[in-house]
Amino acid sequence: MWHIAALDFLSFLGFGCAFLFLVKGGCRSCLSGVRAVFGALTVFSLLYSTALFLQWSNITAVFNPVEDLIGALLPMLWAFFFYAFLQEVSAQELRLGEKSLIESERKLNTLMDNLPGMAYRCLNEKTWPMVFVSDGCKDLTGYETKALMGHGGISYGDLIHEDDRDFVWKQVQEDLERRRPFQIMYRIHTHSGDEKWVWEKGIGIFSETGETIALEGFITDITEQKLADQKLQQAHEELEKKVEERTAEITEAYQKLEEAYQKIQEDHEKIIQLERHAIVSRITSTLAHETRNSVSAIGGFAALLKRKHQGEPELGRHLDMLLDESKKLEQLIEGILKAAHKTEPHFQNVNPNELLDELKALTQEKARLSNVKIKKQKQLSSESIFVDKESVLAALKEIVMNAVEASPKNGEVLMKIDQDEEWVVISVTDQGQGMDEQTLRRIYEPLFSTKKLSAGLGLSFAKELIEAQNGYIRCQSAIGEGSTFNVYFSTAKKNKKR
Amino acid sequence: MFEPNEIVMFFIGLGVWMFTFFHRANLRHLPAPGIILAAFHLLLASIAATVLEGFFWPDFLNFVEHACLTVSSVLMAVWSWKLFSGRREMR
Repeated sequence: MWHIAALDFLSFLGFGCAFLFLVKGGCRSCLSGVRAVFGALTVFSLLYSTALFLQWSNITAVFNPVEDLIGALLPMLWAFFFYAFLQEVSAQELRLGEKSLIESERKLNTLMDNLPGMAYRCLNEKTWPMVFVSDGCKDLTGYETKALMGHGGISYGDLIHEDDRDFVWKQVQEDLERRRPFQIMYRIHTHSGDEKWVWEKGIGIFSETGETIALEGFITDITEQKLADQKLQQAHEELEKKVEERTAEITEAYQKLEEAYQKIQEDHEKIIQLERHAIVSRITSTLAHETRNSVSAIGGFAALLKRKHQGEPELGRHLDMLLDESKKLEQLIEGILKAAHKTEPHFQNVNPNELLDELKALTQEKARLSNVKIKKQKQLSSESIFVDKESVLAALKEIVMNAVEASPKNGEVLMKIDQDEEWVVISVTDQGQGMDEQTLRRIYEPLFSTKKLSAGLGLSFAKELIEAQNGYIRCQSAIGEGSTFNVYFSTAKKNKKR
Repeated sequence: MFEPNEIVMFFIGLGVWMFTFFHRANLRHLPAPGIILAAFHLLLASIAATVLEGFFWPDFLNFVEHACLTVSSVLMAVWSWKLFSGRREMR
């Protein structure tokens, strides 16, 4: 059986080589246990193949019992080999696990040491007792980590600003109840007594039954950001204040502008009124100038006719009336011309009582024809007025005639005088329908009248004549209560003082 | 004709095979696991052939027994060379 012996010899060589490679490279291997078992395996295999070779080459059969024994050992050695390897793998995995854990811890420590703040784990109590704090604690609070972890007689809750403690507790409890992370900003007192603003973000750690075991989170210093925010807020408030001031200035300027615009409007209306006055004044003065000669001629011819027909009393009476009316007409035209500044005024001291007497005489006839009584209140005026009598009479006549026309039949027009040291007031009151406010504002406008057969010039002329005497006119009226015109003239004494 | 020591060897080998079967996942971490496991299985085949040659084909199975042992020894040498003498190291 030479070929079997040859195979055994090859086996011998194979196992021998395996053993040699093991011995040669054994020093580089880190698996000492596996190497030893594998070495034993190769040695026993070598012996087994040697015994087989000796048996099948017919050299000797002495080693047959040894062959049987080693043959039984070989599978067991394989089992040891595998077992040793598995043990080695488990040990290696454990070592690797430990190494990995150590590396993770190292990384975590490095990370936490370089965080710009303090990582923590604390209990959910009002004093926030810390179970763990990172090294950032020293920079943030000024306290050592041990001091805050119960070895310094101080808790983190003591560091929180008194005014913020309740807020922090409530906020954290509210977020814990809702099972969500919390984020809060508050103030703390550092070891050196400084006040710092901090921002905290954390989360609750809960047991399986839902109880809060601890809180874990991170706290960092935001004092600089907070100060910057406050400055920004101040700047914003200042800006708002300036905007308000500017707005107020603009509003004030706008109001002034509006007032100026209103004044311009008023002035514009006055200018229009003055223009109308000027036009009317020109027309009336021209008209008066043109009619004065004709009226004088009528008066002259009436006087001539009276002389010629002296024996006819009826005609004489009519001619007297014609003469009177022409004289009145002349006086009126004269007044109009004076008002239009066509004639020079003749100022003199005039007794108001006498003035009213004359006024009553001038208007009596017209009033009688209108069934209106003119009454003069008996009150003596001690003060005289310094005016152009004719102009004043013309003006007052216009006012009285206006009152007579406004009065109902059998009505009364009351004239009276009031006075003080500076002013004499001549009042004319009628029992007419009165005027509303809108009418009252326009009664002195030329060409304005509420009567159908009126040119609307009377009161306008009267006002102009009175103001030419340094006087003024005011009217009080209400619907259903009649009207009162008060004409103010300065006393002679007052004029002298000037 | 069979011998008791061969049967014992076979059952021990079978037990080791079961051990490798149950731990096959971890044994895959062996360096060059194919070579070393093939060497082991060839040894088992050699033992099986030793037992079977007592019943039939004595010459052929005897040859198979010794051939398997030879190939197994070669594979062990290769594995040993790759592992201990080569550049690769067991982890």
